[in-house]
Amino acid sequence: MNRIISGFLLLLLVTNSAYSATLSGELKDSAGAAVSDAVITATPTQGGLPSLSPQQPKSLDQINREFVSHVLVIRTGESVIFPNNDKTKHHVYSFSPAHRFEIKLYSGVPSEPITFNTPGVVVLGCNIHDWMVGYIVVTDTPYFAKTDASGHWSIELPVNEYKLTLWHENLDEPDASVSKIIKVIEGNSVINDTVSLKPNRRSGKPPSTLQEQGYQSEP
Amino acid sequence: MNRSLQARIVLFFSILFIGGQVLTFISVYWVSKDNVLRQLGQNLVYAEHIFNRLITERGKQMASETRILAADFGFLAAVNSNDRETVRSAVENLTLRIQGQRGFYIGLDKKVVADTAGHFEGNPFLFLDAIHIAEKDGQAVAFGLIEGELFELAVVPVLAPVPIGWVAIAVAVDRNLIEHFKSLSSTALEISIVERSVIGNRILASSLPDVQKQALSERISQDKIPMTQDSKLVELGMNVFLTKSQQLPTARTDQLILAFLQIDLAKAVHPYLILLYAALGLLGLGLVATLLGGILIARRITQPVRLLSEATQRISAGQFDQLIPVKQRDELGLFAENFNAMTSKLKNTLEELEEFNRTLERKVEQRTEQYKQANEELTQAMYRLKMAQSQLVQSEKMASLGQLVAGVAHELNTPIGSINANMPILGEYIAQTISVIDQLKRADLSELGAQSLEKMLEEIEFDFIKEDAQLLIAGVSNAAARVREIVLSLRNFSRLDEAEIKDVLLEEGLNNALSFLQHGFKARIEVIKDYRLNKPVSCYAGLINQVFVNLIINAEYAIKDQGIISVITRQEDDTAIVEIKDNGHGMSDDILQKIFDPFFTTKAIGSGTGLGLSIAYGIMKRHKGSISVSSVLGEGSNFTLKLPMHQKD
Repeated sequence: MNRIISGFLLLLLVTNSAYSATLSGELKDSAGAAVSDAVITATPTQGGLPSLSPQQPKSLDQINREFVSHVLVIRTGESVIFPNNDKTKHHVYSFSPAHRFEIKLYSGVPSEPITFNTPGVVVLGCNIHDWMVGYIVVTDTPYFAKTDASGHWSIELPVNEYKLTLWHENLDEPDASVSKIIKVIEGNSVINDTVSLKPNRRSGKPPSTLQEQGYQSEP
Repeated sequence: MNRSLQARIVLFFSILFIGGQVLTFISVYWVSKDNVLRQLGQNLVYAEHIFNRLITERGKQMASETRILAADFGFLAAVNSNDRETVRSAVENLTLRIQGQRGFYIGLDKKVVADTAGHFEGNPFLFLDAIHIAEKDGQAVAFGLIEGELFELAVVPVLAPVPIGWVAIAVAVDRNLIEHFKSLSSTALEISIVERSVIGNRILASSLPDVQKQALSERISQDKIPMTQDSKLVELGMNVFLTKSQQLPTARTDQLILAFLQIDLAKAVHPYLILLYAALGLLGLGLVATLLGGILIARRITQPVRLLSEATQRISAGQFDQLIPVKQRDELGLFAENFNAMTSKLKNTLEELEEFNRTLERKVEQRTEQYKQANEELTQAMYRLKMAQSQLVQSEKMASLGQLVAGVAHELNTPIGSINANMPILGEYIAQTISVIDQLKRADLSELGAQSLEKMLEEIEFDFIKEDAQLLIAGVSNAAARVREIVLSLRNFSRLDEAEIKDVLLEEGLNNALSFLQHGFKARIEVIKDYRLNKPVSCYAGLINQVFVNLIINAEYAIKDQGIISVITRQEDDTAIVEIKDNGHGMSDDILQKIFDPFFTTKAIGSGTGLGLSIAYGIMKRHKGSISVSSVLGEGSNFTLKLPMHQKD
């Protein structure tokens, strides 16, 4: 009952030019609704990866008692700063093996960003707001994409053989991810794949307020 | 009659049965109703337990949870932040965890620091009594009204590790809770929660249907609240409810909150209705069975009665053949047997009576027949007597007439003989005289002589005399011959000298009769004779002639103007047949039947004797012959005489 299996359609479109290619696709559930906040990464099976150039820390805000954005993808070694945009203080923490940390009750922008040096998924929470949840997907490869509100994604990458990985918070797989080896070559091809989704229990958004939940009084 | 008997028997059984059943039913109904009410009262007590558990246990659980959660380090840190927004947010988080609807954080000064609705911040907490209890007992659970809405509140201290404030979490006691409670209880159970205050009484939450809720609302607004620890029947609208009330522990002493637990009798009794219907159904079935049984028994009783009645009817109609079949060995069977015996006896008696009757009738018939025969014989004797008398009279008359005629004929016979004998001589003489005179005339006589002769002859018209004398003599001769003929006829007719049987020619008799009668009708009636017999027949000629005369007279009488009388003789074997026919006016059947009766006549009184045909009949009988007649009205009559050729003595 609490483990509803949703059909999950992966549509993969490969478009070719001489040296670089664009992988793009669309994620929909069995009902045809777009699936957003899914992360697709393409890791070359041969050859090295381009090195990370020094960058500004990425921002993951708390707005109206919610992590914005809900899912953030970064390369290994990148930093993230957590600005609090609410009047309410927040207490951000992570117990994920990829990176454990906490920023105790604070308002405004913390003085130091957090650097993530281990690839993996970091789950974020707030100590005083049970519903708040956010994800930071830390990956080695620079070839990654996140599905938008309409379920679309696309990655620019050189022609090569890649290990394609799909992650989504509700994916019914160990580590919530599936992988597949594909060869990006000349010509177009379409790959259809189906995965299973767990029912979404936590949106990370605040519940309707207590007042809105209402009191069923006598008319 | 037996039908109504049958109906009465059936009615009796039915009333007996229905009466018993209805009494049983009523008793069972009252006992059941009492039991059901008691059972429902028990149910209400259980429901109250469930309600108390639900309400108070939930409150206690809520308080425990709140206490644990309020010790959460994150919550303590948030409270300690001294930032109202953060505290309110943390309390809201805590309220969500407990699934409450409202949360408060109260400072040690009993003022509200944070209210999830934001309304009471900075003000003293509404339920100070609850905080007092919580101070004393470590936690407090109570009901209270917040902004007109009823909540169950759990109040616990926030310990760090000494109390730094109070957390109050409120869970709505609303329709949802009522519905939840109802879902745990029997369907017939209704719960209403009522606030009683100085401003007025009102329903805070109720599971009652709208109509009854309205009724309850009116009752409590008039302060007619049925306060009862025991189960009582309360009427709300059209329905009756078994009601129990209870006061809920309030978070403020000035607030009085009551819970009413009610069982709708109509709904609660509904499952028992099946039993009721089953009982009614059984009653109906029993009734049908009783009716059928009653009819059957009534049939068994009335059937023999009906058979007897039918048998009685048959006996009344005179049918004794069918007895009543005796099937039973009881009183009715005995009755039927006796009845059968009686029927048999009656049948025998009636048969004897009938036989006696029949014998009597036969005897009467026989006697009647005998009397009839005697009567007929007597009539015939009378008739024969009359005939004999008339024949006697006739024969006497004829005898006298015969004597007269014979006398007249005899007396006439001599002078007529003389005339007959002398006339030719007279003629001779006259002829000679005339011849002499003629010769004288031619003789050579003196003139004078001649002249005087001539004169004398002229005087006497000698020429005429000469002619006429011859004519006269011829005429007289003829007349004389005729007279002689008549006399002969008369003599022949009378036959006084022939009173014995003689062989005579019937034609002769007929001719005599015709010549004797023809004078009267010669001018208008033609007589046709057809004689074929021409053989002597032995008979009393005079009597037979009399018959002829009578028949010819009748024939003449039948012809008014012109007509024909046919006279026929012929022989058939040893019988002479004479037919005398006329084409006159004929006779009708009723006249035909009577014409041979003596003294019957169609002529005017005094004209005929009415004896003619009866005499003829008698004469023919005497000859062992017969006379018969056939006649067609308007065409004529035909008399046929049959006479044996030979009379045997």
